[in-house]
Amino acid sequence: MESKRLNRREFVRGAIAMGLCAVPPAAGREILNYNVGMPYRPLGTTGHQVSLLSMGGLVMVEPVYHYAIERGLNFIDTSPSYRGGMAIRQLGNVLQSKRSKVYVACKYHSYIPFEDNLRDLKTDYVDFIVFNHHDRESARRNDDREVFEKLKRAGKVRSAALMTHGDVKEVLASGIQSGLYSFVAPSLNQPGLEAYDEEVRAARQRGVGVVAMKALRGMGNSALQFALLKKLAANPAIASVLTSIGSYELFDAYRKALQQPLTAAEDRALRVYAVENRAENCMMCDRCQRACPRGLKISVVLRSHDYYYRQLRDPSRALETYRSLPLDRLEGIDCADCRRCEAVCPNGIPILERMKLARQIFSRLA
Amino acid sequence: MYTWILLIALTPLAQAAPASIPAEVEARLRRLLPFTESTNDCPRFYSSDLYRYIDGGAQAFETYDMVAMVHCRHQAGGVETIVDIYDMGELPNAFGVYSSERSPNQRFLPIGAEANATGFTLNFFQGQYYVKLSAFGETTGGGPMVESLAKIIEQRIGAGTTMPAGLSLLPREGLTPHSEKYVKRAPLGHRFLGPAYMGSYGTSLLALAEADNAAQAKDWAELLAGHFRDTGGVAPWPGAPGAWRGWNDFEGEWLFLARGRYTVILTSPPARPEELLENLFRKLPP
Repeated sequence: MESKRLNRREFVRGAIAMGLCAVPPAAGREILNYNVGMPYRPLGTTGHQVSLLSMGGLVMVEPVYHYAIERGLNFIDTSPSYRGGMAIRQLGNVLQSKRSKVYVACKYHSYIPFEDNLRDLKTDYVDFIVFNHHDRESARRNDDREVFEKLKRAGKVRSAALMTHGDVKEVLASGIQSGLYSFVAPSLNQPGLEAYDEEVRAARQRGVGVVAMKALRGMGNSALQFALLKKLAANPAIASVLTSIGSYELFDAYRKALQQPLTAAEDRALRVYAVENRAENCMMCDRCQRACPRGLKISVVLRSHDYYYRQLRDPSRALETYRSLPLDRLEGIDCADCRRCEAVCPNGIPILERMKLARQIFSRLA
Repeated sequence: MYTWILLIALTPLAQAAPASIPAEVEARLRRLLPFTESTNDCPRFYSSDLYRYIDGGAQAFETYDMVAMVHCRHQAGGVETIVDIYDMGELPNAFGVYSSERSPNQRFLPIGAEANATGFTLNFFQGQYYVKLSAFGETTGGGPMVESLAKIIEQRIGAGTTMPAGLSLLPREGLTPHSEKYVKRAPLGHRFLGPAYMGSYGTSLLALAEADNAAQAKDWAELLAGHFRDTGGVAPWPGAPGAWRGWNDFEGEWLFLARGRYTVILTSPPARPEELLENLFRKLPP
């Protein structure tokens, strides 16, 4: 029998329907490293309850990890590539006395034997092997299952996970649909929280945990950071917020924020922030480009104009990127004014206007 | 109508901050690349988008105020070479990020101000640049390849082999070679502390957090005393004037005091810390 491939929309609809009979989280199970001051959430259907605050990226200061674990943190992510391999070895020092208190997620790199990671982490296994995919082709082509099953059979990993910060919507949909991953970790900042809401909900209903990463990226204002943490905590689909923490004060501040409800004023401030930044925050999801019947390189033009030119204030880079496009894929004269790109843009960017503005600015700078 | 368009178009330029990346930074980075072929395809990244290349690892470079980097991948003779050159703006930042990625147990080479290498990687810093090379051969390791490329880049950078001046304050006696570090933000996990120079002495770590003045250094020592009071215990330490001994269950035991515009911290102190501190005090006037 020929199997029919679902498109993303059909899949999301199906997943929402399946949610009605989704398996409830393993309530009542013992929580690893429980501390009354730390909130915990079920991580999909793994049966694990993970701390709402998790630490990842870089182990800058080993005592901060000890401090956090002693205060109930039970979920840590690392990669052998961080800081030239120093980060994973430093985490290994921490795990020497704390392995039984934390779930460990470790990224997979094909050029590093996974056994080397286990040696550096001073452990026999990790709870999650994390695969990175940042474009749909890679996500579809992936041979993660084979790698995962081989390592699982050898007792070196327990579950698989997916991280993405590129082409997020499609990669998430592919990842959730695959049934391979126990959790997905998308880049989930304020605009992302809105843009990927559909996928986040689908993940939850499918029993796939959602771990928000790079959530606080670009929010220099700490009051807004705390507000966003509260907003993430208020979303039942999000099991944990993964962030790098290099100081005791920051850990305490984040933990405190996650225990407090989001106030109306904070929510308003976040919405104002989102509105003010929304149309400035192209998510680089490429939906516009795929929707264009003329095949215009819309997302590249937007990246040149919105990101390089207006946000990074780097006219030379913007111009260079803009000029790298073939003329027939660039000029607005080819645009059919059908506005399909605007219809599919999750951020409501006035794309036609931006394309025209980009052409005017860059032709003047040329 | 055209006036409006022009005004809108010019607004971002009028707002262009000095922090914007000048074209010459990129041009200089590209000139350092050791390839004869065009390097126009080699992407560059800034602090704001480095995570697209190295994901969570980008934060270390942000912490040290990275200006820009260029990433180049090159394939020749069955060997794939990757060259990453980071412009860190100034020497202490380049040393800081380099030192955060090196371990005293590695193999060190006389390239740049300091270099360390494995069979297929080589990292070095020189002036404001931090350079990372790796080469993967189909049949052989890439060690010789990365060394020869590193020497070309070293020559092109041309700056001296200077180490950050602050490191000279650390006593040489008992210092573990290649253990020195420069931590720009939140040294030892305390955000109130300023940038610190550090070195290992056996199992102890000596950190010198640099304040703007003596009063601030004293404030930091008092904040540390308060921190230990809240999390464990603290008591005056009789071995040096104005020194404290603090302890808790996640940082172990510390000695700390203010000395001139430095807050001096010694973690896991040896049985007789006086000798190390005396060596330090000879270099660090009150």
